[in-house]
Amino acid sequence: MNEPQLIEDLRVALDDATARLDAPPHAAERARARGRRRRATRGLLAGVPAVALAAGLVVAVAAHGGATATGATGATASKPPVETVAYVTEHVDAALANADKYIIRTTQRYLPGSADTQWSDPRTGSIYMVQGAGSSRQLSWESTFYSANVLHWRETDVNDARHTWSTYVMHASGTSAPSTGPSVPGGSPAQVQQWLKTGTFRIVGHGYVNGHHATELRADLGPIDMEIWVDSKTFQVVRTIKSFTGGLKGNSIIENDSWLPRPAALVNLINHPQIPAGFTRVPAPK
Amino acid sequence: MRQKHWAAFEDFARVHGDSLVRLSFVLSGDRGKAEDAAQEALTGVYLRWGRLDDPLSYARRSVVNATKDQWRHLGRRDRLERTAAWQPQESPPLLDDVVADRDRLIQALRRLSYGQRAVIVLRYWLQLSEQETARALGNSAGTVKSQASRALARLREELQSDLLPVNPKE
Repeated sequence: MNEPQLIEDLRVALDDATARLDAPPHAAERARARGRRRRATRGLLAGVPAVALAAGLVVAVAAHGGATATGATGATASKPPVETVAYVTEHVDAALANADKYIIRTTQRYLPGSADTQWSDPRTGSIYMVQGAGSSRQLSWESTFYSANVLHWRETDVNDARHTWSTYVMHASGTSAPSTGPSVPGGSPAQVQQWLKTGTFRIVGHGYVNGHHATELRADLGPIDMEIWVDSKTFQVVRTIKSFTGGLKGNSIIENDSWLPRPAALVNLINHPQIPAGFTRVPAPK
Repeated sequence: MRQKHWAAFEDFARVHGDSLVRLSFVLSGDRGKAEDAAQEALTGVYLRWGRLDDPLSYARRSVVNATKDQWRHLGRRDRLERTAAWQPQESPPLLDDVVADRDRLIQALRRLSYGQRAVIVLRYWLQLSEQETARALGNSAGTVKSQASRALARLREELQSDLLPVNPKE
């Protein structure tokens, strides 16, 4: 296992393992109450005069008994700003315009039991994907390029179980001009941009997901119910949940997105297929 | 504390409280103690609010030190039991292979020394710079760099027998 992959695997493992751990409720109020008691205790230990002692006791009692009232004031202070879907959409667009400064890691889970992780480089449009785990793990690299103004896709697959690898290139039937500027591959952030523009989403609340304080948007898009979470400050998409309706009801696809820095080793891993030593090249599946 | 400062502190606790609990939890494996360590760190920040240049750095250092104290007071047997008992909070039953791989990684992490584990967690999970990691641990950036290198090598050794190798290049 090479170093960037080990580090990424660790991040995914620790993100997953701590996903449901939150600070106790009213942590700020508790800190204030503890802090005030500690100050009062310090005053007592310092042998301050009786006046100071009385004042300390008053403070301690106020902190102990007044937690509810002060908590209410604090709740007002931290109330999320008023947001509209248009406001959120505009900021999500802005965040996506800066996507080329990041590597986007998407962990996808879907029933009946699979989890894939992919790393996308918005600058090049290349994707590195790990599907499955253990001996059934498969690694894939996907990239696009233009040759004579024709769009080509290249995919390289490494099969851990068979110790084989293959690569193939497809091209579009027509011609088109090369794209300019950064592009975001077919991962969830770019899709979200399109979905949000349908104008069917509504803001339903705020919460803590995938390590972010996030704004939740929902829409009924016919065959699926869409749930999108965007970071409340950066407006980067951090989670999408597609829940199927109709015949597929009960199935859902959950994608967690992490916007990571661009260390050279990770950029190299995404953009350059790395074939394990000793693996045999086989014809690409048709 | 003035209302303006209180609002800023409350915002700090709301934004960073969860990450402080998680930091302590991945270092200790004990949810209750992790919540205590984070609460203690927030209390320290509250008492020094307005005088700290970098409250988050201070809070992280408090959490790392408090968790280390808790860890130090455990006997060797308790540490081993804690390591063995450390389980992720969320394990979808259908993802056995994924969960098994993830557990192997986390168990390997838990077998590192406390200092190496803290470096790995701060440097690579929280993605702090070497300088930020050094501040959180009270070390020099050079020490962080060498510890991180040794810790990664140790992790690779631990995992080598379990996972299929994927060499960087042919």
